[in-house]
Amino acid sequence: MAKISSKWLALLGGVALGAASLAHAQDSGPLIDALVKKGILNDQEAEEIRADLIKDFGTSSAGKLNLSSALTELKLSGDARVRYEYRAGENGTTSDMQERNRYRYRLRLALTGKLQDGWFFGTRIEPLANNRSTNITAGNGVTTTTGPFNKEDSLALGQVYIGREMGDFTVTAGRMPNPLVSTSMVWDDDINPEGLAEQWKHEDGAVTWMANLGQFIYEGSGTTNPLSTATPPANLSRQNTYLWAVQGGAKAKVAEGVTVQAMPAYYTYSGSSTAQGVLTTPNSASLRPAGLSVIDIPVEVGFMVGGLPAKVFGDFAYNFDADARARTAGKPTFTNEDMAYQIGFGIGASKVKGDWEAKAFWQSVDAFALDTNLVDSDLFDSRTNMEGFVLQGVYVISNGVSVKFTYANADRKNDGLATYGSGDVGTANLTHYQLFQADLNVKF
Amino acid sequence: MKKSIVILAAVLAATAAHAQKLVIKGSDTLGAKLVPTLAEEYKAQHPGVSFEIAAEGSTTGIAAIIDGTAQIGMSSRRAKATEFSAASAKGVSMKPTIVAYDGIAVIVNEKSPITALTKKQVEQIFTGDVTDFSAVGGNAGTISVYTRNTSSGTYSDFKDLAMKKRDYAPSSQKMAGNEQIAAEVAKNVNGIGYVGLAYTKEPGTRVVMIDGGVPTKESVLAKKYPYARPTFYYTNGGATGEAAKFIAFTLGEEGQKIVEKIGFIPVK
Repeated sequence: MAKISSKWLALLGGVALGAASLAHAQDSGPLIDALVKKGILNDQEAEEIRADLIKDFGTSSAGKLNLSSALTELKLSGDARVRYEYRAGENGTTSDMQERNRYRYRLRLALTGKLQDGWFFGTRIEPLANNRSTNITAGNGVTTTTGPFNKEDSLALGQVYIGREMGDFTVTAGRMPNPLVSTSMVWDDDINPEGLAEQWKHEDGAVTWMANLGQFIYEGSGTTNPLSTATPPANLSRQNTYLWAVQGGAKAKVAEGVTVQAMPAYYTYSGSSTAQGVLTTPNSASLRPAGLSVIDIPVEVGFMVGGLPAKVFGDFAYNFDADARARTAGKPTFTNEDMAYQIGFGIGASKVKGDWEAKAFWQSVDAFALDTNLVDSDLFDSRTNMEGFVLQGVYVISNGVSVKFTYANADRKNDGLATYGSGDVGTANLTHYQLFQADLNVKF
Repeated sequence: MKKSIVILAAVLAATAAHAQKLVIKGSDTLGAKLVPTLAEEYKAQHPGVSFEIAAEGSTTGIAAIIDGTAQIGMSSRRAKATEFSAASAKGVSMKPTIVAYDGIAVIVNEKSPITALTKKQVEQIFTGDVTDFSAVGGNAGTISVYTRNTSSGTYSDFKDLAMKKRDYAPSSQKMAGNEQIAAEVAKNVNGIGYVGLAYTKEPGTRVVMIDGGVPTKESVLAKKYPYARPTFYYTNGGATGEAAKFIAFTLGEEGQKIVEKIGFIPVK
């Protein structure tokens, strides 16, 4: 009896050291096997202990989960944010100013998993169906019939994708996190493109080579050959609009602590849906990728300053079809509205408690240089034909909890043209714009 | 009148004692040969005890203990956490007793040139990564994989021990028992399957060496053979009555001799 007790004591001590919680009960198998090997336990005793541990584990919350044996990893993650935002814009036509003070919040909940043979999947639930915003604005749901604290929020599938990793190659299908390397000048980071993506990443010494391809469904036309509503060829012209992306580049370590990354990309569109329509209402985001054939070159140089990571970054974009886009907008004489650039400096990191990060950049976007449906919706109010600066600071107050402050200040670039894009400020002639955001973020 | 009732009760009690029935359900590995042999010997020594043995897979044995439809559940695998949870919910405390050791042998047709495989090759064959014997040193020919069905403990043990928990090849053919697997492999020169140690002498089949080793008493007990495993009786708590006596018989000298005679490795 005394011998058995000492065995149990040895095992319990081992379990306490190596696997302190019930959740680790299933992990105790190797420990039990080791005790059997050393002759401390015989097989029958080990089996009884194993059964007791599994029984205890089975009564815990984790033990009641029954996951598919095909899964090799399942991860629940997400983030929550509360935000104060001030946004103001001047109407160049009336010299009037519009201001908005908003208290906003959001929750994004992701479930991602890996399966055997490199297969993976991901889903993310987000509030609101808006492609460029997942914020709920406090008080916005109130109407005369609903009263205060009404909910305007709903749930939308922000991401649903399936993919497979095969060595250096990854293929993803569905509504996915943006697979392209880019900046807020070209792509709002809330956008999750739909379609197919192929990625290749290969490390070769100090150089990591990368290539990304995207075949995204920009707009679905519904029935491509509707019954009795049109006769050929009109009905045959109803096609989906596609955004095609090709990107290739590298990240190289050029000296100790110094890296350079350049990822040139080319974006073009195809299809003849209504999306290719005339650009007559410049303050509406309704689908119009007409006259867009854009080369985009995001570049980043990383180095150390006083023991802190720092970077100089920039993005340059040029639209080869800007003149056609100007004609579509009814402005055929504006033939040089084809370029956009961003240049800035950042220092610090925001990973663990006590970390801080600061960033500043200048951005200038010509009226017909970029797709107004993709550019960041906050910093310059989703507009093109704007130039100005952005300041950002982040401080990590606890692991996973951070505060972030953003200030943007921009002016209309060419007063002869509207500020194209669908902004929150209700004017097509935004001559001056300011944004201030204070965020409290939790990531889990 | 009183006297008649007392006599009737005594007769009924005596009849009940003589009609003691032991219900044992579960593993085909244990229940096809070993347990029936043990039961025959036990019956010879304990007249009046009858047995109902159903060998339809370890899952059915564990389920029978949880449902209370058997006194002993035979299993060639450990009960899963979800089964322990289901048992707890019904107030059942499942207790495993190791009754024998086994090694899962990989078998091929006796005419096959394949004599040895690595663990990696076994994984590749049974998951369908490799579909032709020429890829593992044999003659060209599409491999026919024979496995147990999903209620079998051997089915899940083999997944755990040999296949890194991956799924079987979609083309694999699921058989009801060890004997059926051996019979199919014996008929098919491109067949491969697995059986418990007690079924390695079936005509027309040959055991394949795995990483240079075959399942023997020594390699299984020393846990050197990669597909070695214990086999179990599951009971609701400590067994009582006739079930306890039968378990004691299984673990006793006579029982363990039968274990060895049938082809399993004794626990003592």
